[in-house]
Amino acid sequence: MELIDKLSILSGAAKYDVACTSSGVDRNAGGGIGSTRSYGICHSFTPDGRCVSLLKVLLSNACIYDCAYCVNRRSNDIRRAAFKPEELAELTIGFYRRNYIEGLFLSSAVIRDPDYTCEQMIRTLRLLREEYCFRGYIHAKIIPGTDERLISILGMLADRVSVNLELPSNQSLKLLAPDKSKETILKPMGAVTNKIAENRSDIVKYRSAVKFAPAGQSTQMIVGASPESDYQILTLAENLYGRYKLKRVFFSAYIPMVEGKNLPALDTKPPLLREHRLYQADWLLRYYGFKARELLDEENCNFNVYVDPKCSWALSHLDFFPVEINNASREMLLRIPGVGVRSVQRILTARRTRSLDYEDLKKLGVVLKRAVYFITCKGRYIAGLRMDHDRILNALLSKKTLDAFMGQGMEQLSLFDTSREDVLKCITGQI
Amino acid sequence: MYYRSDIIYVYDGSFYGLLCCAAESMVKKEQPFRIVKENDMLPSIFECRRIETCEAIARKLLLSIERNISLHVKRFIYLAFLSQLEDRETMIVDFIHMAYSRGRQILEDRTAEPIHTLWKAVVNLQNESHLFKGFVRFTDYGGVMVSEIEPKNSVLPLIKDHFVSRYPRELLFIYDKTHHQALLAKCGKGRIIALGDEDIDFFAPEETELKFQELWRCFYGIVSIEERRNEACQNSHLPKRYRSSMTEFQDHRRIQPKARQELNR
Repeated sequence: MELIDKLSILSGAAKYDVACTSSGVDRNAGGGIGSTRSYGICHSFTPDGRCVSLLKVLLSNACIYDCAYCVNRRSNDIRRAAFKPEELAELTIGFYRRNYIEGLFLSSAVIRDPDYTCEQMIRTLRLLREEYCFRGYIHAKIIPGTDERLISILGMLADRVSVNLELPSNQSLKLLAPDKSKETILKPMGAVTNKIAENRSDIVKYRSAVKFAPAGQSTQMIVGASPESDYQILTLAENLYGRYKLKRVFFSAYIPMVEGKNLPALDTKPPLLREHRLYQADWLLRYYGFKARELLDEENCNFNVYVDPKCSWALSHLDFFPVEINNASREMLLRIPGVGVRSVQRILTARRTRSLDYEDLKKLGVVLKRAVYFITCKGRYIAGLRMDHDRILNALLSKKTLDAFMGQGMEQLSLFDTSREDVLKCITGQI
Repeated sequence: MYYRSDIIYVYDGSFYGLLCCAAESMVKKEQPFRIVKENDMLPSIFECRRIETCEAIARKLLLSIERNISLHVKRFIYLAFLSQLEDRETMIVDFIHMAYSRGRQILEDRTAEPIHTLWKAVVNLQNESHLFKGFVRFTDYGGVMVSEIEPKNSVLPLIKDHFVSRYPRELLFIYDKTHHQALLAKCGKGRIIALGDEDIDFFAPEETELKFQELWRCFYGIVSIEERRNEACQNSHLPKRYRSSMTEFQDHRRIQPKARQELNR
């Protein structure tokens, strides 16, 4: 088989993996080739708007497992291929030299058994790191059930490792991925967490200690293939950040590719909006000091379709507002809808020299569209602010959701159990 | 405090040249009406004075800024000079005057002019140079890695260290078409040279190079997920003006007809 055929089969099979980040570690080339930057670098963007940072491929797509949602499952009749370690290493270096990529994302279907698969991955990474002296970014996937000793070798070669959680609950796993279970997934995840912690103290003690997964570990789960609520998913993510010290939890909207009795029908649209809301909330957890419990609870267990999670929180906590820009704390500034981490930083810097007015905020690049309803500058609301229904709706809803709200596309959105009246009450009731 | 402002300074377009203008205006207590490059000079009713570039004076001013104001202000002045801002020279000299009277806090006061305009230009420069760390594409011409870019700001000084430290074993040549400059790098050392106005014609790349380009286009074509198509999102992250020099958006038969012909022969 030609290299180009292998590449198209094995990158086509890997593209549904979400993680393509190259961030979290700083390293220079030394005498070899390649470096990494902690802020991460995107090299291209595909027509679906996702970034291409790493050469994302499977080592092989000939899987022994039969997970219902997966294209590579045993019972699916597709072309199978596998890279030789030498081939893949040469391809990676060829791409890297031309600055096409930031590094390699290596995953694989399970060949024979998890340990054998991991050994093959290790061979490839060894070749890259030792023969080619490659110092760029490597993200390696750990297959549940791999021996701990192999994991520790893999972690020494890679910058980031990840174990896929696949589905947000054990019941769904049993139903859709019968070869995997909560225990087999959480065991390697816990092992990696411990190894990272151990390694961090070794690095301090011994100069020669090799870094274990310096960019940490991440995971991903499929949203929309199983019945879990947003609240369950978000709480799970919060626990993973807390307990397992994960760097990122990725969500991927389920795209039906295979038919199955336990799966949504083939013509189901991927729940992209839901995925988007989960990511927004994920950001709120990681950078804005929110807790999952503040955003959702058992009763309101799914995100509002029309307004983003932060806006939704602000609307149900109007007693915290308005926030005075010139003396509010960082924590409180971060809770203003439409104001992000960067804007907050700019406000904090600029207000050291003078007290800020709305004109100043505009100059700093703070987006006022939504924020004006929640802030005061020098004790005043912005001049001409009118609190009528249409304006507030216009400000708080994006153009797309506003169109949907006004009647078009209601069919797709009515999947979620919020009625139009509920939303109206939520948005305009209390202001 | 200024004696006069009805004067135009003419300088050679270099950073040191601009610093000499700043030094001149401080010594003479003048606030020049405009500062222009010698190539952009137009006839004017104002008196024009040519400011000779003197490295010693420029270095002395830089050292003074670093010691008396701050390292950040010094860096900010350099970045503002690299930006694409129209008439930045006049603003930078104003800024230097202001910085001497207000001290290092001046950078925090981002809503006052001319700091606000300069700061926005600097942010724009930094964003663009970050993008180019990813969007530069090298073509292997017999061992020399060549790239052509068309940035709006002069990004080369800001991406130099990144590429030099990433590829210490390679010979690099990044050509900035807009500013007619090139970054040359070899053995972990790099420098930026000025080039003439004419376009550079490259000869045909080798077979292996074309093979890798084909592989990359194949990979790029495959990884997009059709069900999630969102070109608005793609356009905002990767504006169309960057695409002309990126391999994945080029059809090599169209871009390099000469190269194809030679290969076929």
